[in-house]
Amino acid sequence: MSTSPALPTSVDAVIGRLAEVGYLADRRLGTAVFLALTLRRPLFLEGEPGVGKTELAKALASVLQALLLRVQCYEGLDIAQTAYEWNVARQMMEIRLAEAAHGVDDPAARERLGKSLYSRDMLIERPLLEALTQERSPVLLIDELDRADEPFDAFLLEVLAENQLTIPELGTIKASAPPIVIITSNRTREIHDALKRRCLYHWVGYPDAERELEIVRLRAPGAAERLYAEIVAFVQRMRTVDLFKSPGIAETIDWTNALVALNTISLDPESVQDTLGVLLKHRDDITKMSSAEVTRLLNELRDPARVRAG
Amino acid sequence: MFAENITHFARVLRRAGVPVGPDRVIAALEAIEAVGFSHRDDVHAALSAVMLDRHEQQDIFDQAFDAFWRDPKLLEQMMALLLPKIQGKGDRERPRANRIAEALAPPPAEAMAKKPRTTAATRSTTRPASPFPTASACKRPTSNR
Repeated sequence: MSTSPALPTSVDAVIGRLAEVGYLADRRLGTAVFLALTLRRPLFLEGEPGVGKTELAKALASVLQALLLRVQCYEGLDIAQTAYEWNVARQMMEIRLAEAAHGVDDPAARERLGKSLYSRDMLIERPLLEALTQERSPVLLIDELDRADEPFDAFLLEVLAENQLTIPELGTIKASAPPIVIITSNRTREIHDALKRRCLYHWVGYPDAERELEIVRLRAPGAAERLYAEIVAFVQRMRTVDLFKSPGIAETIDWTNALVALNTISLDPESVQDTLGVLLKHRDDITKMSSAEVTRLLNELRDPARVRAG
Repeated sequence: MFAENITHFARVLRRAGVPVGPDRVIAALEAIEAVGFSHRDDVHAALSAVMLDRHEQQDIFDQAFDAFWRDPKLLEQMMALLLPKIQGKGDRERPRANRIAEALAPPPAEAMAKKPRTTAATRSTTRPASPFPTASACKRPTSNR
């Protein structure tokens, strides 16, 4: 294989190597990643925002010491921004230079000029094309695909299924080292079936308390052990409250960092209220978590028996 | 023998409304070859990754997998037993789940055959046909706006 010499050879190896670069994957995710690498299929990750979908691609690139290419999707995204674009300014310049050198006087010279205007040199490579022209397999992250318009799914099909891209003026470019593809989606729309069929599917959920504790300890060092436990318990409890946007792991990490920066030793209603904006990103959610509500949740976590009795 | 089991498992999933095509069966075989057959969790994770393409299918898959792991041959009978339970979850399930209830329920008068049929019949008349009936069940930012 012309790819990285260091592909992990087992599920345990995948989990271990990801942990080395600071990404704690559960066994299910580890298995999905291992299969994506072994079967050379794109990995399609769905889940709530902030559960580490994008982070996985970064961690994987770092494990494989591969180039990370990222397509950030948004509405109205087109081929020129994701795959390639003709360098029109340079084409104009070539024409002017040829004119100045009397290079367009006979038909043969014009023919040559025409060809040179659509050569590989005149292409500006965007991430999708770049992913197909590397000597070593890069990691290609197609982030938040659900935000792009549906026709983009169809365009991606050729790239993902055949590892090639057809440029009408130039021909087909086929990858000698196929990229390792990670696609993420927050499910604001359904992704086309034909595309999903070519991928391995994995739903990334919120981690359980134990794993979240490990993640926060690793990613937000410097807090007291007791504070970590309180933070994780509070966030886990908060996910059971009906919120517009529940806090993800990313928010837990940011919140811990904020609390550490404010020299918090233990959670109290005041410190929670002051930093709530780090945890909740919607105004309605912040309004809902009034100080009375925060106090109630904190009391409940400290002394579950008393709350149940009262 | 093993390939046969996977094919059989895929067939049951398909009848339960999870569209598992032949390409996925081939991928499933490759996946099992890669992770091995010794750890139940690995086989479960590998088959889910290959055979599913939406989160809502996980429940049905898990129940089918449990039966499959215990005894692949019993799977079909187990599926028949599991179906009323799947239906009991109400709105979350697609109407298609009712169709497999009909498909799986053996035509001769068995004890189980009666129950899913009647449910399927009442359901199909009361529920409007929608391409994405799960939409109401899963939390989408758009619907909250």
